[in-house]
Amino acid sequence: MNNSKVITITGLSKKYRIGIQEKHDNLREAIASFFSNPIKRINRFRGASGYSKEETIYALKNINLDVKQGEVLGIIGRNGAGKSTLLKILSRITEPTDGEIIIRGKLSSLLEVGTGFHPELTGRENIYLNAAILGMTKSEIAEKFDEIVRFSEIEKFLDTPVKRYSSGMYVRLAFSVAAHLDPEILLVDEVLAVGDLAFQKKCLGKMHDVSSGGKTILFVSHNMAAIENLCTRCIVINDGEITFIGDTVDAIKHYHSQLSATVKPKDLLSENVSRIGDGRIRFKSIAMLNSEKKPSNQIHMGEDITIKIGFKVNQEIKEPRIAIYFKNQLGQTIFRPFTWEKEKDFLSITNDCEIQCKIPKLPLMQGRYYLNIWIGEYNRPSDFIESVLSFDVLGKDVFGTGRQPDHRYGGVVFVEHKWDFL
Amino acid sequence: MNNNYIVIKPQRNLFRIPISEIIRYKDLLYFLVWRDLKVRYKQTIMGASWALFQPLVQMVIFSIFFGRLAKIPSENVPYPIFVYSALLPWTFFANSLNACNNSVINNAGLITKIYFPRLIIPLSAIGGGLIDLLLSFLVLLGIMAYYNFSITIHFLMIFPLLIGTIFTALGIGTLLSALSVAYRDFRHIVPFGIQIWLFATPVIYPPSIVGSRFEFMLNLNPMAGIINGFRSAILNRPFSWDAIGVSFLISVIIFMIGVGYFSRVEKKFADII
Repeated sequence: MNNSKVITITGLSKKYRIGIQEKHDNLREAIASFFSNPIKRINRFRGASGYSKEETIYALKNINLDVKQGEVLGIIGRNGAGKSTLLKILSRITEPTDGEIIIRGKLSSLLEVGTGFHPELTGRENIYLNAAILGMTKSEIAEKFDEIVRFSEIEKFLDTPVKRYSSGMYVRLAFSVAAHLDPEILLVDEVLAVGDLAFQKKCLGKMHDVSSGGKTILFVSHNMAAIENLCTRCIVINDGEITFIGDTVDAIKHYHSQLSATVKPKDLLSENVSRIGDGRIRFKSIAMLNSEKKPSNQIHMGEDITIKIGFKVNQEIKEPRIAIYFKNQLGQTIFRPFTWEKEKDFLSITNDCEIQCKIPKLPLMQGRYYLNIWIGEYNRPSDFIESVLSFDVLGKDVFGTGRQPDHRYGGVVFVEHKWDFL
Repeated sequence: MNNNYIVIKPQRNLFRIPISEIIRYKDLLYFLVWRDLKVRYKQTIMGASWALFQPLVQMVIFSIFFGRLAKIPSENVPYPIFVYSALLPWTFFANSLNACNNSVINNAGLITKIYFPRLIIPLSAIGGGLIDLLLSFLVLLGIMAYYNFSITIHFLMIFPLLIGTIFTALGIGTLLSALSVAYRDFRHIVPFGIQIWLFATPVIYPPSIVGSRFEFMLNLNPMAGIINGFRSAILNRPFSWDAIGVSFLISVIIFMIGVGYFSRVEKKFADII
C-alpha cells in the first residue's frame, strides 16, 4: 500500500494558442473582425483547425510521471516553465491536449489562498463559502468550524466583513480553511509566498503533519528552503518538459545550473529573461568584476569584487531602491547589499546609467553562488530578475596560514577572528 | 480507494450533463445561491423587499400606460392583475437570463482556480431568482385577495410551468454565459434583447390580440405559451394546451442546445476567460 502509485501521468501535453487573448470591447470591432476572419472566430472554441502551427505553443510537452503514496513531490522551474499548468490540469481546471492522467484518491488543490472569498461577507460567512468551494460538505464544515477559527487566530473579527481585514488576517483566515481540508492528495501552488513569517512557519508545520499522515503532496514553490525542508523528491520543469527527477538537493542544484545556463549576463534587455516588475526601469546589463576590474565568474575567497549594473530608464523613479541578493545553491540568501539601508541619499535615476557596488573581501566559502537583482520604489518592484548571474568561489589561504579554509567542514561564510590563550 | 478513481484526458463527447457530479456538489450550489443573495442585499436598508419592487413598479406603470391610456384589452380581468400574473414569471425569466449571462465571467476567479462542475454557476444564478420569485408570490396572493380571485385547482399548473420556465432560462442562460466568455458583446446585447423579447411575449397583451394568423408564430416563442399558461393558472381561466405543448417542446430543445454547448466548451473556460 505504501508504495502504490496515486498519480500516473503518461504522455501529457498541453497546447495553447497564442492570440487567443485578443478581445473586442465594442461590437463594431467584433463584427468587423468576425467578417474579416470568420473561420478563425468560429473555431476559437474548437480544435486547432483554424490556426496555423506558428500560433500554438506547448506549455507542457510529453510529461511522464508517477507519484507514490505519501511522498511530498516538489515541482520547481522558472516562471512560465509550465509548473502551474501541470497543477491546473491535475486539478481539472483546464484540459490536457494529449495524454492521460490517472488519479487514485480524493484530490484537493490550493492554487490560491482564499479562492472565492467575497469582500462584503464576514469572516464567518467566508469560512463557509470558501470551504464549500474547496469541496467540503455542509456537515464537514460545521464539524471543523471551531478548529478553523482557532487556527486562524482571528476570533475577534469573525463577524467583520473581510474587506476590513488587514492582508495578514485575510491570508490567515484563508489558509486556515485550506489547512483543514482532508484530502488524500493535495496540490499546493506558491500559496505560502504571502503572509507573515511566523504564520508561514505554522503553515509549513501543518503541511508537514499532513504529509507524515500518509498523504501525498505536490508542492510548487520558488522558495527553495521550503522545498528542501518539505520535499522527499523533486522534479524540475523547463520549457514544458521535465528535465530532472530525483533527490531534492540535486534537483535544486540542477535548477540553478539551468538558470545560469539560460541567462547570459551580457545584455539583459534583448535576452529572453524572466522578470517581474512594472518596467519603469529595466536592468540593462550586469557584470561581476574581480580585483583586477575584469569581468569574471571565478572569484577567490576574500577577493575585492565589484558589481556593475546598467539601467534603461523608461520612466523616472524617485529614490530608487536597489538590492543585490547573494544566494547559495539551496536558494538561501547569504547577504544582500541594499541601497536604502546603506546609502542615506540615493539620487533619482532619470537617464540610462550605470552604478557599481563594491564589496571588499568577499566573505564567501567555496561553492557556486547566484545573484538576484531588484530595483523599485519603496516595496514596489520595477524590475526583478532571479539568478541573473552565477559565479564560483575558489578556495584561498585567506588567513595567511598556508592552509585553506575548507567548506566541507561546514560553513557558508568566513569571518576575521582571533584565537588566544587567557 | 476505488470510489475516487479519476481519469483525466481530452474529452471528445458532445453532450454530457454531469448530474451525479452536480448532486455531489449540491452544497456548493447552495452556498453560491446563498452568497449571491447575501451580497445582493448587503448594506441595503430595504433588504430583500427590493425583489418585490421590480414587478410591482412595472405593474403600476404598465397599468397606467397600456391599461388606462392605450386601452389594451385584458379579457375582462382588471388590467393590474392581468399584467402582474404574467410579470411574475417574466421577471424571474428576464432576471435569470441577465444573471446567467454574466455569471461565468463574474466567477472567473473560481473557474481559473478550482474544479467543480461548471454548470453549477448558471444554476446558482437561476437559484437566486427563484427565491425572489417566491417572495413575489406573496405579493400576488395579496393582489388576488384584493381583486377577489381565489386559488383554484388550476394553480397546480404553476409547478410544471415553472419547470418549463427554468428549462428555457437554463437553456438560453447557459448558452449566453458560455458565449459571453469568448465574446463580451453579449453583455451589451442581452439587456435590450430581453426588452424586445418582452414585447414578443403576451405579457402586457393577451395572445388573442395578434390574430389567429400569427398566433402560431407567437407560440414559437417558448415563453408565450408558458407565460399565458401562468396567467390561466393564476386567474382560473382555460389553458390553451396547444400553445403550452409547443412551448414545452421548444423549451426542451433550447435546453438541450444550451446545456450541450455549455458542456462542450466549459473545459476551455479557464484558458480563455
